[in-house]
Amino acid sequence: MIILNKDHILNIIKKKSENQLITFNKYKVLFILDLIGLCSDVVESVDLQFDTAVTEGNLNCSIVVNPADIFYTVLMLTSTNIFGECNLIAITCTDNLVQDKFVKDLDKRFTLTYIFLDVKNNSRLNINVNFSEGYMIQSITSLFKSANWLEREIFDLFGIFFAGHKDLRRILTDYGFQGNPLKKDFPLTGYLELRYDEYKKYVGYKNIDLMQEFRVFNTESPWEKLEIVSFTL
Amino acid sequence: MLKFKEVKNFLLNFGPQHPAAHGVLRLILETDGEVIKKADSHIGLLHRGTEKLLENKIYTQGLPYFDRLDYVSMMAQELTFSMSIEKVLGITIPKRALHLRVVFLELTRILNHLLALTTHALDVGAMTPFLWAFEEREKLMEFYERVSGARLHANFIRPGGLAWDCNSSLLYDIFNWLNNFETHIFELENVLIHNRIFKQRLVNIGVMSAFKAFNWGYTGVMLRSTGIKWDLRKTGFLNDLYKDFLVKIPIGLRGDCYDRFLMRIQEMYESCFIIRNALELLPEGNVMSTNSKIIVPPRRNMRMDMEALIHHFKLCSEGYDIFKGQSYFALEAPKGEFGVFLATSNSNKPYRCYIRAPGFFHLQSLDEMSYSHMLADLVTIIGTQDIVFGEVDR
Repeated sequence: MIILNKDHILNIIKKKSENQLITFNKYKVLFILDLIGLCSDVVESVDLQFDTAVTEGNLNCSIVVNPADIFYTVLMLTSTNIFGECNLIAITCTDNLVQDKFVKDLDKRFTLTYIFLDVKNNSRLNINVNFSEGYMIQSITSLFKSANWLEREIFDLFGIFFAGHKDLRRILTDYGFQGNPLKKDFPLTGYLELRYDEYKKYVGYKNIDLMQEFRVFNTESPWEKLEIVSFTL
Repeated sequence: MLKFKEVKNFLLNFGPQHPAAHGVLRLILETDGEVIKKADSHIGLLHRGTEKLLENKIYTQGLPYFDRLDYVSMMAQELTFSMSIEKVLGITIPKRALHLRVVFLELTRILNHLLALTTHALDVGAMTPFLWAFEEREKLMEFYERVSGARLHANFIRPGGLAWDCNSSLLYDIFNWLNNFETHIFELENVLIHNRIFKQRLVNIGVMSAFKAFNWGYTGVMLRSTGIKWDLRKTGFLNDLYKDFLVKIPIGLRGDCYDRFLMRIQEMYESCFIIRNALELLPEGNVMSTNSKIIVPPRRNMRMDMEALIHHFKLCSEGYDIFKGQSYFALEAPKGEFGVFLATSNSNKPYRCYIRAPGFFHLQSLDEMSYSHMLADLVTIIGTQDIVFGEVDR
């Protein structure tokens, strides 16, 4: 419990505000209060880890945040430097469709993970957001320019919309592609294939025609699992 | 009475089969005369769905896909994936394997920088260094071939260590090659860095400030050229890889293309130093961890030992399971921070594997970097970003 210690945070804020004038607006103050009081409105759960193999001060922390508050959380991180110099490393998404098939918890269909790197303190922060399909999550492109393509990629591969993104186009798939390939309900082989038509003399999309039925070899043993010695995240 | 005529900017399509586009980059350029006002890059022409394929393969089978991402720095990516699995499983690696990993990671860095620098020079107009460097690259790929059997896609670094040990004659040859190679870098440096035409094309082109570099998610040489001393070899997750070695990190001053060029050359010298160091300190011993629940036993044991045979069968068909959770691991690949985000779900396949490619982030800033530069400078900027489409499109 390093980052969320109340005195620690207050000290940092004090230090920061002595060195450089920070103008607190409503949201920042709200967020600080939430963070300190561990209000469940913003931060749902916190998981702190120290990487023992690494030099001192290396802290890996992951928090789960309410999807509505993601923008303010990131704004808070960047503007008040609680987390040092913040650098957006990646935004990635996980489709929980198959994983939670017994739970049928479609409120948490997608998990969005924002990975931040603090260069000054050499620590990393993961922010997780869980939300259902069709939820409009707020874009952070106004805070991090690098979020632009990352969000486009997630839009392309998962079909998640980002509110406030100015240029939400497909990025990795072909022009006019339909569907979201990394969703778990999208088949590995896809629906269409590109091929050359010998008679019509053109290259075009056709429905996929597999020479042999697609096979999945489930090699997992149904009754026993190999024991894993230890698990550290 | 004055009448103003509305002048529209000129739209120009660049690529995807342009030799200076370093692969399959398509750019829609909006130009005002010869000055670029907007560069909209269309990527994805080499998208092979690696992340989707990885979800359908067991961990061991997924490894060769990593060679094929950035196909000029193969082992750096194998190493990242292997180490991310090792980190999750908590396996410790024998010392000899760690040292050999450093040797091959640094060889890969040289392999990458030789291509990056000289194709950059080629785009700008210098043909000769390209030919020289490819001779050296050929020798490096020979080392790859001797150690793994493949010139490019090595599949040599496995979770738990290395596929097999290197013989001493190979290590001896690498050591000898280093001595000659430093003179070759010197030649390359000599022919380019004081060249007036070359400097005119590179100095003060594509300048980035540190603030912008952070905002665009830069890592590696691109970030260091702006004056930030950040190298995952020294500050990364698992420092035990580079713990024994002195890594000097060159930093840029102006953040322009010329700085990055000089830094890459300097990094090659440093890599030579590290390789020599690693070879001198190379300990004896195993190159594979002995945890038989994760690592396939040696073949000679399988003939004698029933347990080993069972393990071999189970590991080659079923693989090993990783508990539910998520982890992120990154290494300093030649191009920047190459990371692997693994979401696992109690099964033998990754539930989701996100690949953080440094080139993706660098290419993204092309619009801002090339703003109000001339069209010819765009080629310089693409060259300095060291883009490889295998990793950008994944």
